[in-house]
Amino acid sequence: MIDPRPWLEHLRRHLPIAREGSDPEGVHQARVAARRLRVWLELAGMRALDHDLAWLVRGAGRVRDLEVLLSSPQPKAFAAWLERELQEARAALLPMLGSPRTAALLRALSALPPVPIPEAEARLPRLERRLRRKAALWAREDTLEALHAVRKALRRLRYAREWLEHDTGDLKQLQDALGRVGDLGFTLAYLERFAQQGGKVSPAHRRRLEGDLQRALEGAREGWGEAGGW
Amino acid sequence: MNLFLVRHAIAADALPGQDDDARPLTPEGIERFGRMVRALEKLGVGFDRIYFSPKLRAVQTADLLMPLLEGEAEVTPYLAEPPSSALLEQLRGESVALVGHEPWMGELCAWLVTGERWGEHFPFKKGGVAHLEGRPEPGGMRLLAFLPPAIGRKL
Repeated sequence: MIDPRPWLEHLRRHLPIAREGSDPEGVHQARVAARRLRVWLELAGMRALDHDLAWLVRGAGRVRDLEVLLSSPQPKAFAAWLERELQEARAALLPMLGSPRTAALLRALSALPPVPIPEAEARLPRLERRLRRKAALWAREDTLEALHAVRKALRRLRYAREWLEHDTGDLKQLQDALGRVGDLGFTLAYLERFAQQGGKVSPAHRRRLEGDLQRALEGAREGWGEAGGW
Repeated sequence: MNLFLVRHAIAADALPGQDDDARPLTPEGIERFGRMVRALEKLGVGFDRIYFSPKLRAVQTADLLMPLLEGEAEVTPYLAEPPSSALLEQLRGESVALVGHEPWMGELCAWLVTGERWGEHFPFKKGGVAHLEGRPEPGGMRLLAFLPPAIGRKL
């Protein structure tokens, strides 16, 4: 039987840290737990509660992005803008974390029974097929969006295998190959938003990031191929 | 708004020491309510929003309704307690299902249709569905149909 409770407890433990706001691990770990529970639901063949967990992950996403960006050196004006954005994002997140919906979600998750392993095993091929489809789309279209979809499908498959205590070495290697692209992609997206709001961005800094992204994309394609693809 | 009030399907009795929240649907409850879902589909019913109580039997009933959903499902504590303004204020959508428990579904139905909380006049069987139309406020809705679970066998 696969019991969802360990990750539910993880979520419960990190929600107060996320609300308190001083430790970035609070939001990060709450999102990790919510994502792992979404995969558990898929292995259990349940769709109800998936939207609630997705809502939580999405709602905390902006805070997480900004905390990641601020964890590495940024140009001074951009960093100050990011700090302001982070304050706003935290202010928007707080009511959500304290909402009746979040409380009901935790209550509902607490009542879920464990899922029998053979049932969960039978649903694993679906996640593998999804990754294959996304990888084929990325190969055809070669866009950042398609690559992002591959990363998500890869992460879901890894979590599913971890619920089932299968080996995930091959998937971790593929995730590493794609990881840098995601970070650079959203750094550039926030830089763009900063510029749209009148922020001054040094062209050299932007060019450097764009160059890094191109190299990361090439690295991702090579790494994906070297790891055997999917 | 088209509002479908749904009482959860047949659930198992509580085991000794088991929390009421954790009572699951029985295989019979799943099968019978599956037929109700197919009947609703034949009647052309679809939802853009499903709200459900956090008790397992309501979560599992909402799960059986998911093929009829094109939109978002949302768990709410307000369906695991007597009906309140807080519940009505959170409702969004044009065709909405609420999955909850007795006596509160009957009370909610009476409240929406008559403005009074005469729940005993609108008793829901397990897996029963009421179809209302209008504004989701006390006395603001009309009762269009009261579908007993047996309709699933007949359609």
